[in-house]
Amino acid sequence: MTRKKILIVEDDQDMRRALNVRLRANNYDTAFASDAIVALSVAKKERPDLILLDLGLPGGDGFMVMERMKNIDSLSCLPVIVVSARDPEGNKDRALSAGAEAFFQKPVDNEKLIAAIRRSLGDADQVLPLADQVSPIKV
Amino acid sequence: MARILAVDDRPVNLQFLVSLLGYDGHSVLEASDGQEALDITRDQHPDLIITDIEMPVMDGYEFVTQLRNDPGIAGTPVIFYTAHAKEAKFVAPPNGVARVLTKPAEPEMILNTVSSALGELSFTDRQMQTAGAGAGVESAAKIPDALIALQAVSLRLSALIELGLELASERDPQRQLDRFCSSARSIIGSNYAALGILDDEKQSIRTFVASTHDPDKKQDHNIPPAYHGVLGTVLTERRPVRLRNSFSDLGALDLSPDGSPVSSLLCVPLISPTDVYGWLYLLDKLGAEEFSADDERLAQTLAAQVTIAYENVVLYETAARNAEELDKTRRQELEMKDQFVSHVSHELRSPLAVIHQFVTLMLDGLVGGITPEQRENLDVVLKNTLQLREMISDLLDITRAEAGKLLFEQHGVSLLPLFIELERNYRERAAQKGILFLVQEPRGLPLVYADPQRLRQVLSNLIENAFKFTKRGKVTIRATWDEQPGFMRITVSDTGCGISKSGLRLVFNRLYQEETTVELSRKGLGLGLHICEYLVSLHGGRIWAESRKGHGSTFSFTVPLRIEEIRKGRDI
Repeated sequence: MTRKKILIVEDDQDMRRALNVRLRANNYDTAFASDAIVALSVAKKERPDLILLDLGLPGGDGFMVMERMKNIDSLSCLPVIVVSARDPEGNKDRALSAGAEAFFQKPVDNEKLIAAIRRSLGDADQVLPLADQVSPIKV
Repeated sequence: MARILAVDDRPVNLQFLVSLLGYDGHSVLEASDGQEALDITRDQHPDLIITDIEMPVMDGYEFVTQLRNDPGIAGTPVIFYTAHAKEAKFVAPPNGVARVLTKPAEPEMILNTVSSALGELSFTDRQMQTAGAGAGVESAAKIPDALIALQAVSLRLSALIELGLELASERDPQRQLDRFCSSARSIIGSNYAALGILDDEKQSIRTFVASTHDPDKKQDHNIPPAYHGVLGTVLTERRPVRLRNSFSDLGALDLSPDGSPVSSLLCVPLISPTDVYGWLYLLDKLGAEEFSADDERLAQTLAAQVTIAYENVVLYETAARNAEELDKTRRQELEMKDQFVSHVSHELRSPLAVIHQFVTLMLDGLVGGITPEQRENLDVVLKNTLQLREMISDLLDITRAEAGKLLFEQHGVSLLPLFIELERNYRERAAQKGILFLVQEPRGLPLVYADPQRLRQVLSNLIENAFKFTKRGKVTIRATWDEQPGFMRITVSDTGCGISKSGLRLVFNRLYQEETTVELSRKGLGLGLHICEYLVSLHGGRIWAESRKGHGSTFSFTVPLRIEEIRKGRDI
């Protein structure tokens, strides 16, 4: 079974590294982009199944990336989960309206993040409700 | 000689008329309002009625209308004796009022008007006839004269007081000056009065109001230059000036509003100890050739009154403007602070997120195994990162709240799942500490009207505190009906160290922290309860604490019921 691939768009090198370890441990392949400009070309090249998108990026921001993705055939249906240090107020709604599947504020609750990724990729063994109360399956 | 009915709601005015008319040989009836006047007129059929206009129950206009509609008494002549002569003039003709007298009128003028309305020889003429009859009659006439004069003065004083009160409560400077000018003219008794207020540079007249005895007369509204002739003297030397037409100055001054010659002038400055605001001048004293020293003193008193009142209005307007500016500045500052804190918290969260990720990676065993001791140490690091995250969040919350930008959405919320969630979240922690965590599940209780996230925030905060300050025993959460109808009450009780009496008063204050000997490492910013109080009041509830030092505390807060909100038409 081929592993699903997640594109991590994050400008902080340390954060990229940590997420990489965690995602791989959860059985996902990973790819990286560190700014808003290369994000789309990397996405086109790597063909990920999901994008973890930071909002604060050099050369633009996460919202710009989401906008641009809509105009590219191969990317317009790609699920996006936003992970950002920004305040949810204002940003969460904006991200969800722009098409993101979820918004996580850093520092993230790892369990909930993995659960959301599984949900978006249809990986879960059971269908998990959207409510935060249920704990995800631990790897 | 005649039977006259005097009508006025102020006893001092009635007394005056009774004495005055009595002096001229009339018998006087009294009434305090239009209704009473009608009753007496129907009953006693007076020959003449002299009445005020502004009265309670029934005013002068209504009285005259009703009078004219009653055939038995419709023909009774009526004199209006009122402070608001200008208005009376407009109403008088259709209602058939014989004469209009402005308060306060000279006693002689009142008697002459009464005589004229009765179709008799005027008081003045009769006096002159009697004067020819001999000295004895003259001296007899003198004493009542003094009495009349005294009462005229008391009337003026009462008019002064009334004016003072009116001016003090008037907020509009233009109306204030208008009112003052016409009152000054009628109180002192002149044909014309004008008031000018200087502009800020004290060079020219910014505001000019005038009042004439005869409002129908054509007027020239040219504003005289501020320092024109004696007006300049008054301003620069800050003293009053009185002139008679024997001085050539008067004609040269050319202050007459309608081109007719001016016979006398009185001018006073409007001054405060620190400033000169303008002048007031009166032209053509009524019933005399010139303005008296008394008139001058009266004018100065009036000027002092209006200056104080005017200064107050100006101060009030300045204060209101300043308050507005201050408010705007404060709001701008709060906005800037909010943006600054938002930016800073974003920056703080980034490295915090990295620390958190790496620590959890290790704790989750994703970078190799760790010894139990290493796990313990890493747990401490994790705990502190979470605390740091809370602190940043609190800081942002309180700043948002102050800038009025906290997002908040209320709808129907069930307490049961919330309580279940909280029980699960804190179960382990309670077990670790060896204390009992009791959650009374609120089954069968109605929905509350709240923002679920904020409600959770408040409860978590209270539970955190309860755990923080409790070494042994239990922490209990409960939901019950509040004694205030339409509200649910939620309580968090603990058997911890309690709060001192002085602490209880301050516990919801920003940055207040009770001394803790339990978990010295968990201090926090001290904003938690302050935010709770803010959030609870946003919901429309209240929060309070009860405690006994050494025994424990109970924090309670209320939250409105959804059914109540629906009834009030607020929830859709």
